[in-house]
Amino acid sequence: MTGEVTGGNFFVLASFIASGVTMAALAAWTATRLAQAKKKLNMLNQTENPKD
Amino acid sequence: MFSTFANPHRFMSLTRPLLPILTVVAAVMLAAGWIWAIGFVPDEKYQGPTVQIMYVHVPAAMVSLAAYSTMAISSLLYLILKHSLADVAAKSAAPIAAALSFICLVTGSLWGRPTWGTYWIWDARLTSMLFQLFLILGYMALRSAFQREQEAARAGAILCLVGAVNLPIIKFSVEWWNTLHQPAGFISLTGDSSLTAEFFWPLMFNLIGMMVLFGAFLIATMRSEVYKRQYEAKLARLNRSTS
Repeated sequence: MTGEVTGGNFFVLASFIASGVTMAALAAWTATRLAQAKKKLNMLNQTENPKD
Repeated sequence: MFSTFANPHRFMSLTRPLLPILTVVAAVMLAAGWIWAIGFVPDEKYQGPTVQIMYVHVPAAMVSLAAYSTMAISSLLYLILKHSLADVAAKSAAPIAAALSFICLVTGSLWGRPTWGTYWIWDARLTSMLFQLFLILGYMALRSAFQREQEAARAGAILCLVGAVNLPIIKFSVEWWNTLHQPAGFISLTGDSSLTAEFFWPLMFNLIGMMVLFGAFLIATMRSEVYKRQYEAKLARLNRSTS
């Protein structure tokens, strides 16, 4: 420890923003990937069995 | 027993109702945990408000190690049992482990500047964590270099298991070497904590929230991978039958 820390609010805010943005990006990527994979499989199933 | 529970169809039917529940629980817990950390945790005597960074840094660090452990255990199971769902789990955990390692490094760097006076130092803990991030990115790049999924799975599993040597290095680096990073004091093996209750409980809450979030991400990524493989298998079958 180098002594009492002052003016750390910027670093706190930057940490939470960086974490939030990274998690939001991961969530968006995961949701998009899941939706696309499901859609492609459903389309193929419909091509295979058009009456379903 | 593993084959019974790791059946892809059973996995899909079990996780369908589980995924929305985990997603909502994780979102609520992390939102509440962050509000608790930013709004209600008092400033620490020496670190002032920067102690609040602990509530994203420590959960991200611990869950990133858990994510890599998931990759390693799944890779080992794949190599022994050749079960495709084990490979799906290893592959799916990789981007989550990378994101959490990145959050850990960025928040650690932002915590280091006001407390140590520098954003980065080639300290054993920091360097081994950076190595973990590069290892995961290397694992993902290696897998994408193969055309056939089985070859990618085998090569990835071997790399992941070799890289697992880094896990105890990260954990014990603060004890094995003289480092700027503080020793582990959050929870010791004896159950003692160096944190008082007002700092400890919000940290536990955020840690559990991050674990639930990892579970939700893992299930969602695994489900999309299973869909992708079902699509590819079906497409190959259709192509064979038409040719």
